[in-house]
Amino acid sequence: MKKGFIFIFLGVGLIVGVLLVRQLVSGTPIDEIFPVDELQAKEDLFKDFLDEQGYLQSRIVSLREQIETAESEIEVQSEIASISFLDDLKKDVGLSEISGKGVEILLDDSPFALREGSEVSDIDLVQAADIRDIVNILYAANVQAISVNNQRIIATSPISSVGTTILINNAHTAPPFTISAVGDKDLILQRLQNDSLLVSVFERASKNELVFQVSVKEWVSIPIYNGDFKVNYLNLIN
Amino acid sequence: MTKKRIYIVIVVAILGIFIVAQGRWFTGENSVFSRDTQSNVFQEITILKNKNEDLKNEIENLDSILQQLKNQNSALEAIEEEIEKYKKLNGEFPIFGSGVSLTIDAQLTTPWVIDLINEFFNSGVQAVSINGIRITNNTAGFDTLPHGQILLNGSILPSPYIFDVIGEPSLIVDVLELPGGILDRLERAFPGMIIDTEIREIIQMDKI
Repeated sequence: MKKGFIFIFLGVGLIVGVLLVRQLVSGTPIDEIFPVDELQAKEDLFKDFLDEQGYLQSRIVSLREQIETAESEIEVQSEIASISFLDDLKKDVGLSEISGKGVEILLDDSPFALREGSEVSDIDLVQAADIRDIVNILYAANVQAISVNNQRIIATSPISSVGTTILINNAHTAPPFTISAVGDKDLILQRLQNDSLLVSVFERASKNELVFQVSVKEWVSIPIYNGDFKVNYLNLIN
Repeated sequence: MTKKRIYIVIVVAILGIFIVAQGRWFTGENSVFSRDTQSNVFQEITILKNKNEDLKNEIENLDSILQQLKNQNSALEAIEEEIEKYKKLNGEFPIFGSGVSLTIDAQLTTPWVIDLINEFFNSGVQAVSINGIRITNNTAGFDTLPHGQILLNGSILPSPYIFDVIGEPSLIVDVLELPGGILDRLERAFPGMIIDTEIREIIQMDKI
């Protein structure tokens, strides 16, 4: 009995030792090491930047509208042919509002999911990759325009995540995500209902770990792109 | 109950607490590493700050265009400048610029190609092409054929995949080669993959 007792203690000691070593060598950051005031400061800073971002984006949209008006006036007065060419180019790069028949996709975290704190789990959260995959499927269905939470998506729009924060066009976006697209609804539905193209989304949606709903809309309006364009490295070959 | 049994109960209880705590720790660890990037307060704030700077620059640029348009003498020049800018972006005109050519010899899958292109645009590149097809608003999305081949704009993309990217070369390379970055993840997903990164003075992209 005494010998058996020693073996039990040795076994338990060994397991505890392994767990402790595993814990000590792990480089994983501990989620809750930030004091409350630091978290508050982070939130305040975030809010300031987001407020500023909202203002700047709306200012860009307003300026583009004013430019559009000014160009229309020039076209009427002087009949410059290049204005209509400019309009076509703007449409190509996402600077024209597009509306028409299409679909709306609702993508949301599980009702029990948390995006903050130590209990965060990827499985029941919408991930940037989910949105990227859906946007790609929509492009493959030849849609005319796409937006996510009213943010116009263009070919160069990055959709990424930093931790549990999702950034679209490098702007902070929060769930639920409404992905809107103008295009052939039948073709879009055919693609979106193909579970082999969205394996992870369908799997999690079937387990209620994700909300994924597609609805056909008679009228969808996609706003103009409200971000910046950088072309300083690009040169035209004449 | 004997003294020995009490000891056993205490030790087992402590062990139980450790196992539960450890299990929760492992769950947290998985969630952190399986996402695109690790949560980092400073990174989030830096991205927002840089984005706001870019937006301010765009406002300055748009303000300048608007002023030019209001002036009869400079209006035509402003229109020509806008046309030139958007011609560089819409993909219907050939372009060139400095950047990086990345060749990947492996049987990549569609989600990885999407992620890699997303990573390029995330690092601020201005134009991307894959196997000679430029990615623009007029490019159709990637499709997967039954045998796993990747289809883009009606063309099957064979391996090796050549990603030509125009933008700040050193920045692109830094982003690609970040520890835990996209190339690290690709190498883990496709063991034996051959990658060649080449900084080039001139990368040319044809119209789509």
